[in-house]
Amino acid sequence: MTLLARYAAVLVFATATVLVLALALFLRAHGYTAAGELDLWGRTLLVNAGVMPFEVAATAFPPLPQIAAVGANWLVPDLGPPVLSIVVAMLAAWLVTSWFVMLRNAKFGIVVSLAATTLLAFNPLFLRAASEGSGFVLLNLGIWLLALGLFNLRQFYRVNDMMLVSVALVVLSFSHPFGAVVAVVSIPFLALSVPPDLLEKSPSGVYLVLLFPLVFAILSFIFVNWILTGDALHFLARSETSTAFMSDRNGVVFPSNMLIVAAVAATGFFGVAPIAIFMGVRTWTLRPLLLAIGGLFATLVSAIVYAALLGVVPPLALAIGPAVVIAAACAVHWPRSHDGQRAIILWLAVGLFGGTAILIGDTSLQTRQWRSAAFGRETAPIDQEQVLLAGILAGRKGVLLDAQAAPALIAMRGSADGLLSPDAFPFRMSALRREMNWPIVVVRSKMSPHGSDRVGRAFPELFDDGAPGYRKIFDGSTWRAYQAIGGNRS
Amino acid sequence: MAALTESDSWTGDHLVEQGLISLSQFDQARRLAEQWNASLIDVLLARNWIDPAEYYRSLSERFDIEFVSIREALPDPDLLKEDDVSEYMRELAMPWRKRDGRIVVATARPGPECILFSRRRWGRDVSFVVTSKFDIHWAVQNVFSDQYSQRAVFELAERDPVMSAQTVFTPAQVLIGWGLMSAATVGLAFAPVATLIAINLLMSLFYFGNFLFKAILIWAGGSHQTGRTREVNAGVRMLRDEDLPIYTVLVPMFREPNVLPIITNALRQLDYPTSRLDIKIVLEEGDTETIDAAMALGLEGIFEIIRVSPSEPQTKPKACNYALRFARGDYVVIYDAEDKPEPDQLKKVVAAFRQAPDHIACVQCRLNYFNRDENWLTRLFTLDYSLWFDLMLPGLERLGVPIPLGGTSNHFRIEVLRELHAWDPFNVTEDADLGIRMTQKGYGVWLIESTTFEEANVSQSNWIRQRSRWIKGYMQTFLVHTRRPLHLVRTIGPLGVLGFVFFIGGTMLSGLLNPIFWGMFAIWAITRTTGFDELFPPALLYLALFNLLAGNALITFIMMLAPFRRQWLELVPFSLTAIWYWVLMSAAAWKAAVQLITKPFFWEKTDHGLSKQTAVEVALATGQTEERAA
Repeated sequence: MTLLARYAAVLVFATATVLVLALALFLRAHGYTAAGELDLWGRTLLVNAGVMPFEVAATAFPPLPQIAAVGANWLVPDLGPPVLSIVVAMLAAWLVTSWFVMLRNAKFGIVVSLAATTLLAFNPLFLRAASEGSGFVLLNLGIWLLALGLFNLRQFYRVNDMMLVSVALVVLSFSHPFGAVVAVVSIPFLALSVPPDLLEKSPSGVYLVLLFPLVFAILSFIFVNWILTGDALHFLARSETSTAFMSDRNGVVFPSNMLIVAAVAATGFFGVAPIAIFMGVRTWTLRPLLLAIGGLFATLVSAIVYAALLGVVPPLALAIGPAVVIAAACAVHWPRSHDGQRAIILWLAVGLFGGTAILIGDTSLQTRQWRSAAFGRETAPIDQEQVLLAGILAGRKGVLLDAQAAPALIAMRGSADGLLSPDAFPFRMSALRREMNWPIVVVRSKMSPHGSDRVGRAFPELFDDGAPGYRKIFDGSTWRAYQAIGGNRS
Repeated sequence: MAALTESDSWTGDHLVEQGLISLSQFDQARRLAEQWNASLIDVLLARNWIDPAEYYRSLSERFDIEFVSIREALPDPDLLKEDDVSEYMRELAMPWRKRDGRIVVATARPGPECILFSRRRWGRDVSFVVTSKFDIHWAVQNVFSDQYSQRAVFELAERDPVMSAQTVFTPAQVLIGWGLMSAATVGLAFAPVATLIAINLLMSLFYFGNFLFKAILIWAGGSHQTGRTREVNAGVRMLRDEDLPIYTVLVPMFREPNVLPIITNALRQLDYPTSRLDIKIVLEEGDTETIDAAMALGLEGIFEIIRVSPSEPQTKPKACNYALRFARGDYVVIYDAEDKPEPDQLKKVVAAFRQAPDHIACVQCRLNYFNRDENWLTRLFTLDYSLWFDLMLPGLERLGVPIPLGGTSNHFRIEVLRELHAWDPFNVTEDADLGIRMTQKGYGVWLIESTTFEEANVSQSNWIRQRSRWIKGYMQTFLVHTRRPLHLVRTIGPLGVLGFVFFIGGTMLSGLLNPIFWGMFAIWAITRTTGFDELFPPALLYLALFNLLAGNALITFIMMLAPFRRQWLELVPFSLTAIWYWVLMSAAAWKAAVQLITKPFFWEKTDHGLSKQTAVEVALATGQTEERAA
């Protein structure tokens, strides 16, 4: 890479970081924060304040966003929630920069490379994913690595491409539940991109290499769960809370008929990445490229169908989002020709319009709120009750709260200071004696979608009847808070 | 194409007249000699078309000069000068004795050129006797063996002592070692937990760095080389036989009579003009069984036997240094006795040297095994070698880290090798050391895609012996090149130092440390003891967990990737059993550490010829030799 090209890449990285960060801050200023990010930030605050042990973060699924968040907050503790946005912005910018660099490496001129990169980066579906938090950005990063590996594997026979595919499967699986589905459903389609002679010679050998990191990572994660919590499948027990916010089964976007889901996904894919179709037509005789496109298309569409079946499918705009990354992979692998540059720009521009249409057509609550905030309109938070409760708890000391059951509440409160954890020994002793002696106690209703929290389980009548010597200071359908009458208790 | 010299033409006519060669052989030999720019006799001898004894006798009759076997009638040592040996070898003429005040020159190539050379060299008043080329070599070796032997052992130690492993630990190194041990002891006495945590932290950081470095190395190695392979292949197609330089091939052997046919047959099959080859089978003087085997094979004229006089240390580098004195080539390569280089290897190397920048003084070819499917160990060893030569070394080259050369198939520009005083006879991985030394002296190494196939060890005890020597050699190399840390940084750069520390240091240190961590893990897993808890505060615990899981996964994964280039994917599942291979590696590392203290220069000999496949290769090679002779 020449010095000039390096400067250009640094410039693209800096610009992309600033733009993605600005978008995240703008959306937050207008009331939109991704639910997953609130949970993530809440857990991060709890871990770094010592209220929640690090083991909980290390054993949470998906672990990559959690570890990244804890690490970033540990490094720059004073920055607050923006630190997460910075991490996300840098990851997204890295992705954008790699598009630019690879286009340059593919001998595209600087203007065309910049134009193509801009069209990809400003695709609303990419912006939607980039502002949805680290999980989605990592998912898109995983798709990018997978796409690069699959495009190159059959052409160049390099170990690097085997590594890319293997690592991509790990990144996908550990960044987001939807990513895990993508990784699993991609397995049969990998065969399309593996050099046929290798596959013929030793299919088990090929698949062992490709899947070993993923399998080992899963086993390692189970081992870590066992070591740190004593339960190898601890993460499964908690996965429902981790993934609840991602589900969108309201029947509007994803109907129950899976054929229709597949049709929606396929249409969406081609709407966002029309370049893939035209590259396929153009490279009809270049089997490595054609099969890579086919494999990636089949992977994404199947993943949406399976995720819909499992109930972990994100809103349409986020589920189709990886098609932007696949479009980028198509652009950098477009066969060299005199009209190649114009064709790429044209199809990426069409993809941008397609992405806009999908974003508008996505009727999920989260996307509607995102759209609203993106257009500068104030949006009401998804969980208004938690916002109000967080406001009441802000700044108070001696609050007994099962924070693990509602990390987003901590994020809204802005700090984990002054919280008492049900993991603490005094709480366990009090629960045994059925005595309560904290200044403020917060409890969740057993009728809520996730049932009682640990406080509710220790004091089953607390939500409905309160406790002697306590008065209700917050009354919601899911949460109630009680304050000790007559001064502080310890 | 060069025309035949006058004396070659005469000789050819004479041999045909005498019926020693046919007319068609003469025609063919003349064409080859012109094409290869070689002497007619070299071609005839190289092709085995004439028996050397008959040829020299006939030559003596032709010129009416006495034939003398100077092996038996030894030359007068006072007439021979050590500095002139290369000239004797080139001209195949040397002063033999004095008769009636005249110097008698013994020559294996009589004719006008020899007369001119001798008169210019020793004056007009000279007379001649005919002798064989073999006799000249033998006689020179006899006369100079003591000096050569002395030089082979001590030249590097005397001229560049700081680069020699003759001193195992310098006083400064002993002092630093003592200081560290004392600090650890004091720490353990007064603050045992804190000291153990500190040691644990250092080891964990080392593991982390080692894994990270290996991952980067594999990535860099995987994306390297394709371009060069294309260029070198194109370069080979452009080569003309007459432009090829003389190539010296050294084959040091010790007690390996069984595998000799493999290398001789492989060398015969090299796609290189035989008369441009200067092949030297380097044998220890006391190794009668191999010398007898070599004699019994009736090797043709291109094979020359060098006998190394006995002295300590009895190591391969010493033998190579000794043989290097007799080398005539522009380039030199080392092959082991059981090696089977790909036929076009020398041409590829010549093409690579011609394309390489001037500072490239060595081209390393890849090594792998012909008996990879023989048993579990050979499969793992093949994975190990594939990883080393196909991925890691290209990665080192790409990152600009000094390359520890592999044991064989490293090709040198001979003048650079001599300038560097060749191999260190006190270092038991002399090639690895030479690779690092070369980089420190401003020279570089290139890797090319040409493979030499060898015999993989089939026995675990034999494997441990071999590996313990390698690791001991790495320890020696590490100690030698870290004697002057600032000089090291200045000469190979910070990245080079980092790579050197992790690659050379990491290889030996991980073998030593692994059993400690495995032991702790096993005790914890079986007893669930909390005794180790104090040594693993949270951050260290997570780092250790990461190393345990991600590190082991990474090393296994890169082993799986190793056979990808050669498409030997049937070996992939065996990488899942690498843990036992690592146990063997640790056994070898500890053996090496003990030997470094007790017997630093002892050459732990690897037995070759144990493989069933080697027996097949030997039978094949013997058959082909017989066919050729018939």
